[in-house]
Amino acid sequence: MKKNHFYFVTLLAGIALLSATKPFIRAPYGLIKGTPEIKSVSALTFGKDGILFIGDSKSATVFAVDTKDAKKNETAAAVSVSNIDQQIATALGTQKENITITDLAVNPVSKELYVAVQYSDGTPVILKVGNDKIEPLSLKDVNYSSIALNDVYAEDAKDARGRPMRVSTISDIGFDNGKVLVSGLSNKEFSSTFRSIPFPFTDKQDQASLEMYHASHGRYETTSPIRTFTTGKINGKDYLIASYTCTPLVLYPLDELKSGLHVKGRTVAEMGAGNTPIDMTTITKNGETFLVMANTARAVAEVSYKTIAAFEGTLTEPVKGTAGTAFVQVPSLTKVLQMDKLDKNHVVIIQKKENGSMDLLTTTNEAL
Amino acid sequence: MRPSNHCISAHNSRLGSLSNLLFFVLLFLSACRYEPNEPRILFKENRAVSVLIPEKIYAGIDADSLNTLVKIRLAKIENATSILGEYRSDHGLIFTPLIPFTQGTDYEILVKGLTAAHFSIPLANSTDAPNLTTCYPQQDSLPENLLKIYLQFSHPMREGLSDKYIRIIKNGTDTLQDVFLNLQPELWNENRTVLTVWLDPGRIKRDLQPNLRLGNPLQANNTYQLQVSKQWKDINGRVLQKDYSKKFIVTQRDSICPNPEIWKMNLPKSGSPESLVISFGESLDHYLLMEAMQISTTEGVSIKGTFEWDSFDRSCRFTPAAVWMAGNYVLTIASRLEDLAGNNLNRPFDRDMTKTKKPSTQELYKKYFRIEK
Repeated sequence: MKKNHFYFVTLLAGIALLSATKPFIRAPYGLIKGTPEIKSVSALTFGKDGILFIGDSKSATVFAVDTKDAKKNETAAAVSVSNIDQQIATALGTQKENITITDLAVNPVSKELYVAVQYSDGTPVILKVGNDKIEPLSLKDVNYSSIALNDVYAEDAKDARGRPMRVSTISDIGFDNGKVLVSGLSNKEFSSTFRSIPFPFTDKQDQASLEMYHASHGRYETTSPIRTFTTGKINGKDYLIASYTCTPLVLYPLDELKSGLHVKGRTVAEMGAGNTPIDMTTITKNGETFLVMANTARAVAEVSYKTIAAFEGTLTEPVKGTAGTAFVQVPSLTKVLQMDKLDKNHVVIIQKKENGSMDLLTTTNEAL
Repeated sequence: MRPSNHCISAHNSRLGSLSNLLFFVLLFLSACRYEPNEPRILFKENRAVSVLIPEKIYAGIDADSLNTLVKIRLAKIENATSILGEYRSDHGLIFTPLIPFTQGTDYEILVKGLTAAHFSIPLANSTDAPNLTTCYPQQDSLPENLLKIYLQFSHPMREGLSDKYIRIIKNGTDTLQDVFLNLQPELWNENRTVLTVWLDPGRIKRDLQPNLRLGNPLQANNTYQLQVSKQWKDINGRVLQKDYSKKFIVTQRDSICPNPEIWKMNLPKSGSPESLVISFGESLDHYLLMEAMQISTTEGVSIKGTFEWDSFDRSCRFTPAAVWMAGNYVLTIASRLEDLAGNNLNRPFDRDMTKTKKPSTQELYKKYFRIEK
């Protein structure tokens, strides 16, 4: 009887203990609840299920934040906001000269627009923007994870007091097939970094060294930093499609971008010197796929994937002007500062107009 | 005399206590002078991060309705939208905007859609204005293929404005165009006090299209002036104390890699706390130097101490934390250490990869030395 009583008490205690313990529910993708310490927002991109990746140059870290914005929306409403910089500045309680729009990303699930803004004192803000809507993305008590960008020089890169001196600025960020892709450059050496980071984050990240032939420059260059990139399928194979200052368009096979490997890119187009590419995305119109690219010194350029696929060689001789895969320019789309795909039929852009206003507008794929 | 002295001392002590008491009473009274009818701005690290709205301003509004019935917006702007931020109750209503309030800007508080109060953010105190403290490299004679310039400021600065405020004048007359690499985001250190500015590498590398079209940014045997406008503001909106100007003469192109083998070392004796002096024979990159070298025994035991560099970064001085012991040592140098033209230990910055041999990929170079008894 005494023994039975003991078992009964033990059972009760066990039940009490179980009921007192809060069930531990792990958020998807290994995210944990908290407030990420984001020091800057250089680049944004979306993964699956409303996961927003934030490239933070100041802390050399990529954050993954669950925006909880995962309600599926196939077709987005066209967005048109005149004087977007002024509107954002007013909503933040300041003047437009005190803010910089650092990136724009569309959530491919909900088609919501996310705009990264930096105040003149460095304070970063992420806003959800739409017609008659400017809302903050709260980063308080969210599910998130982060990964610090590895410094290849580790211990020896530290100064006499053991502090790392290097700053890796993130120039662009993308997500493809379960991996976060990050291009960057250093503040100390003229060098390019490209990382491929599996998500959910672990302690693994691949950093390959890339080499490309810069036809405008007439020589191989491994050190030029990638300014913008996207990914795409060409002849059935997945590629990193990257562009650099002076606008070479270079393909790297994604499956070769692994740590320790030196990968030679294939330069498929030389789109002209004196220009820096700003943003790139892929669209489909009339059943054909195109790469569209915004530029600092000229109009948005458009290249057909079919012609990229047909260009099997690589530019290896110096060129003056342009060469390689043919491209067309969209004359009405000059001074495009930000660009992303809104839905399968539309692209959203931020453009500086001739009258000085900065407008957020939507264009159909056909108009490109 | 002694008792009297003691008495005076005690009296003084009491007076001291009274004056202390008076000071705190006055401090308390001055603190109490804050009239809770006015909004009060709350500062953090010189930034106006919040505003405290006293209850009198929103009297009669239910606590649950505060977020919807009390709004803050820019004053003097027609139909300005409400400012984004958070409200919380704490001896009044505290509003914290997403970004700090802007100096020199007027705001209004609306209660139920009507203007209830105003507040303004004062301009920053100009007595603590920022300064461009140092420009690296510091010497006034620089190679034609100079690759980068570091600007070090006393205070965190506003980003994204370097192309507006930095220029180079040639021979006192011509402002050079397109000499800097346009980078956004700019390369600032974490606390925004050091900016790295690249001279356009496409123009520096010989025979590249930008080089052929526009020429090298700098040409040998000419005099230049780097100018930084005092209009550049820090993060608190204060302009620089003064314009900055650095005059320099440009010498021949430097296409030779730094070579630790020919560096000269001035070795101290064992038992001495004296510094080890390493002369590079040329100026090296200021910030890379700060992280590129380490001294250890040949057995791999790191030697604690401090590195110091001369103002032109032509030599460094390593002072050990303890006296030198006789034995074999090694100076380890990261291969990415560069000279002023971007030539590192493995390769010159400007090379034709199709014609020159493949450069070394070693990450570290070692220079051995011995401390004698």
